[in-house]
Amino acid sequence: MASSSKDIQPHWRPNFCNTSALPDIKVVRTNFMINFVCVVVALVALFFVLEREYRAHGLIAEVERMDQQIQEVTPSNELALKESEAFKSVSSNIIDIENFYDAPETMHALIVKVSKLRPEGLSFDQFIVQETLGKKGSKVYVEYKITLAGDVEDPILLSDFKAAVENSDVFEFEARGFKVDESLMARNVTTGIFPYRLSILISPQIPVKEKKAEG
Amino acid sequence: MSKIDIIKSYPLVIVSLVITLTCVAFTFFRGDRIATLEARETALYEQIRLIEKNKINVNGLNEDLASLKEVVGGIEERLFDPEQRAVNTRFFYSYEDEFDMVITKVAEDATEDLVLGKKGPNELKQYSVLTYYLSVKTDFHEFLRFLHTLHTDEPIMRVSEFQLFKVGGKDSESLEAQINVRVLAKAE
Repeated sequence: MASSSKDIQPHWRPNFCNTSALPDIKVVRTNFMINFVCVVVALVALFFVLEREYRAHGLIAEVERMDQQIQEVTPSNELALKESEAFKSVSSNIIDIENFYDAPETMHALIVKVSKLRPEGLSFDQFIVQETLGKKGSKVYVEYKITLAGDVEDPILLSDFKAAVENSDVFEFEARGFKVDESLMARNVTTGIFPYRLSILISPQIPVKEKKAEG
Repeated sequence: MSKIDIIKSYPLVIVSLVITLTCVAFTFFRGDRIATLEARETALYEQIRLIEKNKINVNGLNEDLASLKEVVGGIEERLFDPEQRAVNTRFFYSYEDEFDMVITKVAEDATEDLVLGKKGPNELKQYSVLTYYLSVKTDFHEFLRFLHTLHTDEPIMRVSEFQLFKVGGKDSESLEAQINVRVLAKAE
């Protein structure tokens, strides 16, 4: 015959006590501590959830306000973007013009400036300006080579001319350095003059000379 | 004492347990809500900041755009038409009327410009460029004047290279020159 749970006899104890049925007779009762801990845990969990919900509520309000703000300014912003796009498109024409004119100097100005450096007794028979492409790694750049050739009465004049070219500011261009090479050919026995050649290379790959302090 | 009696004797524990479990479930299902809202708030804040920046940047842009369009309109009127080869060549020969010089040759370079062409270091996006080789016979003064005129004339031109040679005797003032002239043209 199956007996109910009430009929089940407690486990046998050496002191014959059924502790679960006995009243709590401890001097300091501890049952309340279980309640206390559980209530604290529940309150903490509740606080955590409520705090998050409160934050979410605030964020929703803020997001709605921002959405509203964006909707209000969207037409004017789209207009601004259209204008900006149009400006960008038109300004690319101006960039093209800048690229087109990108050169250290206009040729007529260059000829005049170089001619002013020429000492007496040195003549120009050839004046050549060439534009070439250089490459360093993947970067392609433009170089300019100026070649001057002619006659010089005294070789020292060529040296003076080279020094004048090197020390003048005619070839000082932004982000472009320059170097000068000269060569003197054998003297013409009939006329007694020396054919020469002087070349100036202007390149972004040549370091720009630092300006000497004045005074 | 049965289990139900034990439960009945701790009502606060049971209620707390139910609340705690409900909170845990609530947090589990809505846990990423705050993160989502915060991410959206940040995105919207960035959007507003961008709109405000646009608003500042666009200040006076309309007037600038109008003046820029006017400048570009002026440039368009000065462009060479690549299709009008005969007219273009005739244009260079017409300089003979203005200068004391003989233009012996005007030739158009059919190859793409390495500097201003596609993938060149100064590639043009909106326009194209035509390169002409001119051979001229003149003197130094006229040559300089010619180069200056090429730079300042109505069509947008630039002398990119030249070779100037003295011809005749030592006292001769005659010069021969080969000039490479780049001309800005309508995009092909």
